[in-house]
Amino acid sequence: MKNFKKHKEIRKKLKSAIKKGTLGLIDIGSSKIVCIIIKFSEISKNPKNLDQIDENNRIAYRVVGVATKKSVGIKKGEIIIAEEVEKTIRLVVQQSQKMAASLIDEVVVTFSGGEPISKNLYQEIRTQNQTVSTEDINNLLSKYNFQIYPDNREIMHAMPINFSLDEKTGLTDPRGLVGHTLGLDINLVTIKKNVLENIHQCLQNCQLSLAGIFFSPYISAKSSLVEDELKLGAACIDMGAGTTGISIFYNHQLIFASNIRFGSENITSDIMQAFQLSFNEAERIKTLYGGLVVTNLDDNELIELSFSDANKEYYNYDRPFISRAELISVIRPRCEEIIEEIQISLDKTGFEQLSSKRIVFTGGGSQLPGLYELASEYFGSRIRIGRPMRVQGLPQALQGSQFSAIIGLAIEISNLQDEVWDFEIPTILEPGQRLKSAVNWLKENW
Amino acid sequence: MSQIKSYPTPSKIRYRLERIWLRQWFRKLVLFTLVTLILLLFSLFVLISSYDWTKLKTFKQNIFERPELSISKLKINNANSDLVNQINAILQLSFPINSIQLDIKNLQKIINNIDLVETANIRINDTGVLVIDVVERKPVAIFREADQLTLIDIKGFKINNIFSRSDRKDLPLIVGIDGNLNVQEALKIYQILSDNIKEIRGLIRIGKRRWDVILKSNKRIKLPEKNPKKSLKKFLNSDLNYLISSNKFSVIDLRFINRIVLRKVTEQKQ
Repeated sequence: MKNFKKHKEIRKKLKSAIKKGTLGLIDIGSSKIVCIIIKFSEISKNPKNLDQIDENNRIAYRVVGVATKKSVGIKKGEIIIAEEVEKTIRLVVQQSQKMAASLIDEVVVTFSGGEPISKNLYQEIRTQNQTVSTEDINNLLSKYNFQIYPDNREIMHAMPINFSLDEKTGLTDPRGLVGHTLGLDINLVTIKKNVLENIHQCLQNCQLSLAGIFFSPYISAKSSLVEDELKLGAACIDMGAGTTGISIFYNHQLIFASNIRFGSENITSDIMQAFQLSFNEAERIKTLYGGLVVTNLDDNELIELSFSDANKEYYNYDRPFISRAELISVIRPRCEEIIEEIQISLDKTGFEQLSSKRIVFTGGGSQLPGLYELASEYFGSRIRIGRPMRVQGLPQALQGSQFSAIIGLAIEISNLQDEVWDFEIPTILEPGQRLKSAVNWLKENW
Repeated sequence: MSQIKSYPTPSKIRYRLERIWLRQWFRKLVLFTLVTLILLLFSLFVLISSYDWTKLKTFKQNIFERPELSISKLKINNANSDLVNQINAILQLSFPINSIQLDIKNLQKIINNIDLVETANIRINDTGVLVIDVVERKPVAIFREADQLTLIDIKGFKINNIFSRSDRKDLPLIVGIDGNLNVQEALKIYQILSDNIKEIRGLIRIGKRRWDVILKSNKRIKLPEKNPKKSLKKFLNSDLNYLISSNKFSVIDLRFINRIVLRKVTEQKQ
């Protein structure tokens, strides 16, 4: 039986940070690291309110500090050079602290790496009385075996997503309802342990303590999906630089989350190779002139390449211009590949069976012109290019879809999703274990 | 894959310092210390510039003039009136005086430098009297040196001059170079002789090594270098001691152990 000690500690830190009033949010992305500092309003600092966080009772907050930096040493959402990432985090934290004029000790982190695996678990028990009580739910949770994953993986999310009572399903809060068998679906997202530990270490070296860790596809869906989409079921595709995240929501709950290890960085490197450009130049051309649908005009539109880089002698001098059509012809195949991967992923999960089959694209990659046309060829007309919601105090520059993850994080903090470790799971001990646990307790305390 | 190019980031120490600076308690502490420091400096400045320093002086005086600390009298023990006058003249203390201001060690030094004083012990007793216990040098003999008569103590220390031999008839007279360095021996010889003879004029140190005794009748007793007392005693106890009172001899020479050499009084000399 796993007791989620670490997770509980992290959750406690988050709550204390909310009480203190300021919290840092960091998005560790493959292309950029964003830090925003949010300040909670006086009313939400009231502990009475904190215990009663539910959908109707969001914590009021305001963004007071923002900093963005190009990330160095991160590949596919995972830290590969710890020192560089630490430096960048320090820089970002410092800048945002300066802007906010306040200190952050606790940070909530989101990232998209570590090969996430989403798994649904189901257990059911008979209720003790006629009506379902909190005790029943706790007993039900104690029946789960959370250690079905290998040792090198760690639980990131374990969210109770759906209660079922007798034949009725789709309940969010079964307490007080009459029934005999209580069932519960739990969505378990596990990621590689060392990826988590690296982030933990990085933050520790920056004198920050981790107050929460969220998976970025889940988080960006929170900021991009609208109420109806969350309710009826929708997939959110977060097209990041290193990875493309997929999350499927139904009935306000995350039912699936996954990751494709392709991203818009791959498009950039394609351009880089095709036209023999530097990475920065390729990125510039992609963001300024990139597209996915060719028109007749594009043959005539020539893009001037600049060789302002220091090592320009390595690049091709003979072609100072490329046509936009050429550029699109490089970008499109990679994009098609990504979308095909998304389709395969979605098909695997049985996304087709959801009532509303909406797909929302968000993240930096979704800003590519013509993505809507390209994606609708695959998914039909149920797609949408999403933009993140508005958050109080967020500057205009950070309202693009590439910041959907960090905005989603702020939204999530204001309305925390219950995780398994928020419940009091009773530990059922066998006679032999009882003594062992007593010995362990003695060992820990003396 | 992007090229790895690190930022010019601020150092770790600067990051930490900045974080400390952002802490509310730290700012409050700095503010508090600064304010208190400024206030302290200001108040110190005001105190220094406005304080009446004469007040402090009178305060100091008040402390020094407390009756518990003041000395009202000087008392000199074991000294004759001459010495008392001399000590009073040298010390020149004006009573009442404060005991803190009094340098007793220095006083002792001064008193010890007086010729008449052998040792002095200075103390202040509980009634506020400065007591000087003096051990005087006792004159045991008169030493004549180039027509100057000096009183000397047992160690040969010259105490003070006298004008005439008749001032101190009780003391023996010692003459001769370094005669004052062997006072003890001279005194013993004198003692032995004075038991038998009344008319001793004095002792002469001869050649810094031996003694001659001069009697009133200009008679001279020459004593040996070694064991002069023994040979003198032997002579006095022998049946030859009538020679002293005899007028026929001017010199009785005892320098040889087994014989006494006499010199006759010559007519011319007389």
